[in-house]
Amino acid sequence: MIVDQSYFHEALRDPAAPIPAGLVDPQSDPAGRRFNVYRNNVTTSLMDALEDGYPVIKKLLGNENFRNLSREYQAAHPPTSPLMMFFGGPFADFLDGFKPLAKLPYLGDVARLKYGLRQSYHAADTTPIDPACLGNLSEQELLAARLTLAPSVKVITSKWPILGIWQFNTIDDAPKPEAKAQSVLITRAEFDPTPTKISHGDVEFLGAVSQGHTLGEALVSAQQLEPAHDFAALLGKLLNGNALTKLGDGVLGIFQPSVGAYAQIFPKVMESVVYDTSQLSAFHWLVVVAGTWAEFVLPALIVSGLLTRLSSLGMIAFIAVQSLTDLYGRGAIEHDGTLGAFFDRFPDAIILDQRAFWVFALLVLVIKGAGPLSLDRLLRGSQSSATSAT
Amino acid sequence: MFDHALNLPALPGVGYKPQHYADILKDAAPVGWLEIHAENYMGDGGRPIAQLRFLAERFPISVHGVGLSIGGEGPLDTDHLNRLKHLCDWLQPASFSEHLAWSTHDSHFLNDLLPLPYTSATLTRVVDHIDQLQSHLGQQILLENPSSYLAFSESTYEEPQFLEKVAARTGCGLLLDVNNVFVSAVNLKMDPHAYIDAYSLSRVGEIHLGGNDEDQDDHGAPLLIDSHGREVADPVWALLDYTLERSGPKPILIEWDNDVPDWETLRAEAVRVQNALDKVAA
Repeated sequence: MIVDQSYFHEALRDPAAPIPAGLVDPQSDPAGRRFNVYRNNVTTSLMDALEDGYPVIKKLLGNENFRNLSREYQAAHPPTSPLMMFFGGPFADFLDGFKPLAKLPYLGDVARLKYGLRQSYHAADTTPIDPACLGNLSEQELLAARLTLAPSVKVITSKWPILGIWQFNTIDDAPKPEAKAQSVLITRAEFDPTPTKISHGDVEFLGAVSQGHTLGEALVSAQQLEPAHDFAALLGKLLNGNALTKLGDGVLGIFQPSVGAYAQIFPKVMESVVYDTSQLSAFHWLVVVAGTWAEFVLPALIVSGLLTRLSSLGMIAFIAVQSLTDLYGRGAIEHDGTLGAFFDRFPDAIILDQRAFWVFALLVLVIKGAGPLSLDRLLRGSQSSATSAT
Repeated sequence: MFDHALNLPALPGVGYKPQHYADILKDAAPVGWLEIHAENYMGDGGRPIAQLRFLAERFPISVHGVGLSIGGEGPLDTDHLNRLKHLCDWLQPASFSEHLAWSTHDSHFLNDLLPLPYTSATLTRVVDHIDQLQSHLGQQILLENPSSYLAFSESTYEEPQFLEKVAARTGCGLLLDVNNVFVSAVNLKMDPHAYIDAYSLSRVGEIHLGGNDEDQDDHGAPLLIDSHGREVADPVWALLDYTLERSGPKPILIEWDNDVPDWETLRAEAVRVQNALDKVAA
């Protein structure tokens, strides 16, 4: 009697199913309740995982109700990944749709808040922006800026006082939740995700920012929804929570370098002028604009194979300027022992070595021109076929 | 076959639990290395990864996978293979181990280590999967013997013989779980000493010890459950001594995954391991 895994699996999932006949005890008798050890392991280990993930839901429902619910959940959403840290992702949706709990309509959002905290806990680490960088922007620059939120930032909106409910059930002597809608911002300053209450306007603002709108556009949307929107308060929460990782600028910003771009290329100079770019010379402006352009446009030209020789030459110039700013603008030359550490986080990589390799690869393109898969070749091809046709 | 040598020290190790972080950094002795479950360190960042990075600078780390389903009838999950590879690449563990078991069926993950019939069909499949895993990771793996609650009437190999064949064909090493040997021996009425005698001890790169719970089958016969929730049982310590007399010193892990105790209780188990190792070192 062969017991394949489909057969075993079916019997595992259904406690009423017969135990596969090829499974035996030491006397070669049917395995009987020995098989239940596996059934029990599967069910209880997943119950434990759901309980660990949603202690507040368990507290609200009581132990026995939660375990019964957990069985239903397992049947409806068997895990598809061995990563137990993310087990129970669809639990909030499941709770929303679970008819017998329709009297407790807030449970889904409370679960959503808890799962958001868990996702934030495991989210990637990022380097936050320096608040000083933001404080020295002109109003115009600030409005045109685009913010990037850290992956640990989550926003949970709700019709229910979910933060109040969550705090009431996790913190001793927390006040009773008021019957009001609450939306929550989760930030993770270092390792511990922190939930805070935010307004409708804040939610609107964060939504606009994460869709790539400028700060100005996001502020307008927030104020339309909430005329008294308090941006300063939200910004304080975001900065305290290390929630902002990048300060970018709009599409047109490529002509008008951001403070961030200046700071990246000339950190020492920027520090000395307290991030006021108006104090910088035309030389600094030129380097930053050319650098920003070169970094975006030249690689695109090289990859598509358009004006290959010229753009490769331009890229070599870019590398030269980049290396000089690294050495002098950023002061790497003063740390000759750890030169490499400044650039690629490979402390043993030798800067000249690496940059020389890039230049060498580009030099090949300058000398040999583009290969067959290039716009240059395509254009030349159509030109010469046009010539031969005449 | 692989350049990456197995280099866990022949010392006591423990399964790492975050609640012991501060104690371990203060004074871990006699614990000389730590084991983690691979799947718990597959988030993108945050505290678990930061702690592991910090610990890895101070202790040899053994990565123990519990979710690859090497014995599964379906193909190995390539996403999961990539996650394991990513973890091993940045962590550079001293050892990587997985189980002779299955846990996924039709993309349904069962969160338990399920048993296999020891047949030539299973052998071919397990060998293929281990070849794939070892070439994906670029390192030798250790394969752990399971704890059994029942047997398959279709089996044609004994477990030690089956493991030896897998190891001989794939070049993998073995992880000998002495508690699992004891649990299976009681449950399937085998002689645990005969199991150890038949086991290919020279291939063993690591030994596991854990606690078990006692239950009964339908006929009132004792049924031991591999629970990892208490101290190692006395007959298991005796079986460890019997094993070490034949194998010489090995890296030995205390697994305590449920009802995790305070550090002193766990350390006391590690001290017992050290005493067992001292007996054979002399």
